[in-house]
Amino acid sequence: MQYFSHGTGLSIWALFLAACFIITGLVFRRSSRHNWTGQALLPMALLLLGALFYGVTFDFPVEEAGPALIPRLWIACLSAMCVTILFFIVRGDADKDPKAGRIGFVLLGVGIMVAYYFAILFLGYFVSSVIFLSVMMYVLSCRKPILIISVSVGWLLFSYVVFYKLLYIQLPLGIFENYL
Amino acid sequence: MELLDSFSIGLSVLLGWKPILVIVVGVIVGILAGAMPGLSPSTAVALLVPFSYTMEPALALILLTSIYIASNYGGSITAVLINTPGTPSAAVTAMDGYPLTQKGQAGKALGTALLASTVGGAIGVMILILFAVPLARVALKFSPADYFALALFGLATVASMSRGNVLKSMVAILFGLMIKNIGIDPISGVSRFTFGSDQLYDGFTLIPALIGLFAVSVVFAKMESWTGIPRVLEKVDNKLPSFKEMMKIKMTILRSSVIGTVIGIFPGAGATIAAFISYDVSKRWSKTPEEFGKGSLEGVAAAEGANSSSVGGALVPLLALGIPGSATDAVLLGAFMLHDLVPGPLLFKNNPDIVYGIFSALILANMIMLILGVYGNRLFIKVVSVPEAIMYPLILAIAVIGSFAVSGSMFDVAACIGFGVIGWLFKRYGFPVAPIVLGIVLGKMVEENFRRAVMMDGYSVFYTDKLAFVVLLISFLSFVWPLYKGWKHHQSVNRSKVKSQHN
Amino acid sequence: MKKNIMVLFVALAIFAGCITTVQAKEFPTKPIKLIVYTKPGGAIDVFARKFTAIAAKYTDATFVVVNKSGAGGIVAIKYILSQKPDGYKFAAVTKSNIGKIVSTGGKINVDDINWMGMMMTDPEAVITNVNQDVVTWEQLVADAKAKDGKQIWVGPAAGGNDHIMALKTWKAAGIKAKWIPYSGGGKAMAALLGGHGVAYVGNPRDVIGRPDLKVAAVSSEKRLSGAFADVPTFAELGVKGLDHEIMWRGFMTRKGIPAEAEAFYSDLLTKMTNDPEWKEYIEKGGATPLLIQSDAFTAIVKKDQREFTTALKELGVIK
Repeated sequence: MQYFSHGTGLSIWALFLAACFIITGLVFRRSSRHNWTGQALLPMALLLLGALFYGVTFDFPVEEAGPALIPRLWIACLSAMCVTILFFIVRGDADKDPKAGRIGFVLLGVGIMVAYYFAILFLGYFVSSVIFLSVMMYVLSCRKPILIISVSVGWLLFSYVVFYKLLYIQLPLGIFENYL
Repeated sequence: MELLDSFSIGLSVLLGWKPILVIVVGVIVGILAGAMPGLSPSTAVALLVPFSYTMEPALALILLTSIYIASNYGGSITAVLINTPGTPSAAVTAMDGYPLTQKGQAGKALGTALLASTVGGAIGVMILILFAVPLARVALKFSPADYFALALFGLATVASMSRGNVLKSMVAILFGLMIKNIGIDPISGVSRFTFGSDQLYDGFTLIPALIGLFAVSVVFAKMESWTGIPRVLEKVDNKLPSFKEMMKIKMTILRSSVIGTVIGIFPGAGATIAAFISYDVSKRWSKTPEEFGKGSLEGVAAAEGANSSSVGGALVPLLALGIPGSATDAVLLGAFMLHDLVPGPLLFKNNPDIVYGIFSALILANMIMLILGVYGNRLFIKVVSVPEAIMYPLILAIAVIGSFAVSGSMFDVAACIGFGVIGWLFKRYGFPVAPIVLGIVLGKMVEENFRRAVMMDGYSVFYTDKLAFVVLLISFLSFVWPLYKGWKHHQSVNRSKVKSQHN
Repeated sequence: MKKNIMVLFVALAIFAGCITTVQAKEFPTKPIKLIVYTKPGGAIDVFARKFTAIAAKYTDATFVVVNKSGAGGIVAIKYILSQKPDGYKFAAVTKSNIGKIVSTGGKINVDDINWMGMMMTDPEAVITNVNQDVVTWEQLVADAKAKDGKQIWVGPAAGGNDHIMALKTWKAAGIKAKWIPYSGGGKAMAALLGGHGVAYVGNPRDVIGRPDLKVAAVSSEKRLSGAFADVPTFAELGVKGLDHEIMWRGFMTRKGIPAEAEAFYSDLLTKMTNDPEWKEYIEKGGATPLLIQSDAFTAIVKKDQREFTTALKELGVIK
């Protein structure tokens, strides 16, 4: 077990668990329980995450009431709960997946957030926030340019005065580091 | 009448326009900072420490403690109005506050939160003034085994948070507990589950996780059901709760205030655990427990009464012994030291003006908070009528800056976005997110005290230590009781089904 | 005539311009950032803010204290190392940061760091609770022998400065005890006050304002002055090899800062060390103000690094 707790062994273990996750997804999709795919995959993901963490615990020093004890306890309980939920799903005694809404739109939202994160690193907080707010408002179908500009610039001023000047929070400035 | 003499010294500190102005400013800053997700009480106070450095010691500490007490109420505003707890403890307020807003009763919810916060805050301070020293001594006597039992009792409150599926709540709380294990292990010094990254060395911070799980996830969920049609503005009622309604929740407020103060006294527990436990107890005592989670004024009062009164409790170990009981206390301790003061028994003797000045200021701050809150609520409530296309981008912007403000780290921002996705998925499949917060809040307390207890006295301590044994038994029952009730309910439903088939 | 005056002015302006470019070599010309590795209100934060307040006596330079918390100082040190070596950023550090550098796998090379100056040393001390039966060092040793390894000592997290001090003390005194770690000095002191342990390892200043606590022994060559004059040193108690166990605080920046910045800091730190207000602030807590610069400081850092490495390996924290 120690082999799977660090280095190459851990990577192999992680890959194996990821494969398990994908296989579970595929199996559910094709089975008569395809309406429960999401309901099953969430506890499955937690179960596999627990398994990954369980592997890592073998790297900890062994001692009485040592660092591995409590994590293993939580993982054991979590696994038991997840397995029970999966059992109910297989038996068909569980809530079905909710009707899928605009998943693509949510992914767009997540994508914009991730882009915002990287923009802050590169362009700094202030510039990227103005861009982010404008884009996000546009995406959420606000079509009034004056409103978009006033909200973004208003936020810019607010965050500059309150967070940067008053509270001394060193917001990242990115490439503008030397100009402010 | 030593106490009265001391108070006259304390009140004399407050004479003049300067101290009053400082309290008013402190309360306003506290309410606004509390309402801003990311500026939790401890962060808000910490950010104002440098600012207060140049002030007179008494004024500086009055400013910081006023912020501390008001921020716990401030957190409820955003929790009620946009389901985004401004402070960790307001996660409990959101459970009933937001459903009330959805029913168009935001005014009632905010009014109840304000009333409960004011009464709770005042009761907490009274208990602090009257019994600080003896209470602090009692709290010290609690052994690690007792603390472990107390923390487990906190975990048991998960039962009252689950609507429907208890299993899903358990999964959520265990997920929270598991991710709290990431980072350095405070007992052995080993780093756990960090996968070689320094960023994970301190583990996931509570605030970014909280903002992600509550605020960011809501925006994603709204985007999933986005129609593009501007929402028809429902009528927002800014009416305060009626006198009759206030009378109905008076016992809840009193009970929660006492619970909050007591929990606040224990070093390491704090406002969030106080709110969760008080909510759980209030639900059990309530005549209408089925309304909890669907917009119960009692639920809002239970959470707010407890988290505001916990401030008085948390100041007990700090002022009486110089031991910081909460994260905010630790910051306040630093503020005392900056002004060459050391909190503790000697402070009462050497600087009664400061101690009783703080006491008097806290009482005054509560009254000012009530007045400002009544007017402020009419203003805050307008937030609900902001169009969604502007509100959601702003919520995301606040989430990002709030996560960053906690410790000035972009990693926290990334974590906040990640937790936003996790929160969206959890809610999508009917898993509640509040238990994750409970798990993160209690994870360290459960683990550290369990291991400390075993290291000190071995595993037998959990039945030889009477107090720990009793509390453990109670928490065990509170885990099992809802399961049993659920099972019985399930059975009676089945039986009635069978009966109706026979008929 | 007018033209001549104009020429004169232009010449003067150019001359003045030359002077300012010469003066640009001066340091500092803009605000200096002092990085602190805890949030505001932490002990090192108080230290840094006191420093900047008193330093205002000796320089017109503006200091801005910036808190960059995380990973016990690793975040702050890495930040300094990632910045331009222009001398406008430096950080307040303590001995415990060296422990963190070791326990996070030594990804930071101490040779990349300009160890500007150690400003104070705080002796390690064993502290007891006056309300318990075990108060003096002799009682502590007797109790440890009677309990045979079951005596409980409390303190901050395992593998830290104070824990290693406890291990050294047990070895030197020939006793055995258990170390029960808490997530901070404050909580550990609460445990000592509550009677859950008999001794706490920290610094003399921990007992200030807490009349229930008493320093049983201090690691110092000579007795401390002031409020701690009656506290015996380990040597007096017959425990050998614990004459100089300390916690230090000082300043660092990255290597390669300009010579004028180097001179500015060296001058400022020297003046600070002799400042009566600074001395009073440090000495009030039982600590010693001093100034150990560059090479001597680096040597101490390297010694600490070796000691932490050995101790943390023994404890199993690192491999």
